Amino acid sequence: MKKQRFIASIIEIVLGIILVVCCISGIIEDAYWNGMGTALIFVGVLQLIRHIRYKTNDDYRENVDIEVNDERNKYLSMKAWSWAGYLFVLIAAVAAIILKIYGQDEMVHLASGSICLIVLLRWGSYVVLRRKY
Amino acid sequence: MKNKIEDIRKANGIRQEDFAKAMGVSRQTISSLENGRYNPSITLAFKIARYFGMTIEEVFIFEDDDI
Repeated sequence: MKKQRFIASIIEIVLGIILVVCCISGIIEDAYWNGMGTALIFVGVLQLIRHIRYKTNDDYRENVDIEVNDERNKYLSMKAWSWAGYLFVLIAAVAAIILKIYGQDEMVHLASGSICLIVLLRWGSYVVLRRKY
Repeated sequence: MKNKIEDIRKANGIRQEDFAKAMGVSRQTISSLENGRYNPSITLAFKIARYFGMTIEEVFIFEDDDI
């Protein structure tokens, strides 16, 4: 785990504390930010614990390094993202048709827009990767 | 692509866990390789062959069906 992760977890905790304090003191009245602050503190502390364990526990560090660098894990992760993308497009396309039948035009635009965005992102990624490899 | 990893590993008396550690991959990866469910990268294939002091052709069996 890199030093950036450690810094990121500290920033998350500090940001979380600021949000929670602002909500408690009444500077921010929206409860959403209170929840967001609590979540940031929780995630930050969790990452910090993992970072400390990584630095102090040799077995844990070895296992984490293998999990992170394992080529099959990387392959499966890429494959999973690929499947997720395809499934998202299929689900959004079916949803768009069903929503159109029920006259939910705004939702149809949202579903169709999502498909266009993901296709555009896929095309852009392909162009970048084609230049790189 | 078929391979003889399991046979060679067992012949050398090496456990999957130890072999995985030496290759810098997880035990599940070794298991998938041995079952033929996953084909390794060229780098890992070289690493495996070198670990046993063999050539890639001696460990991995390339068949026309693999194309």
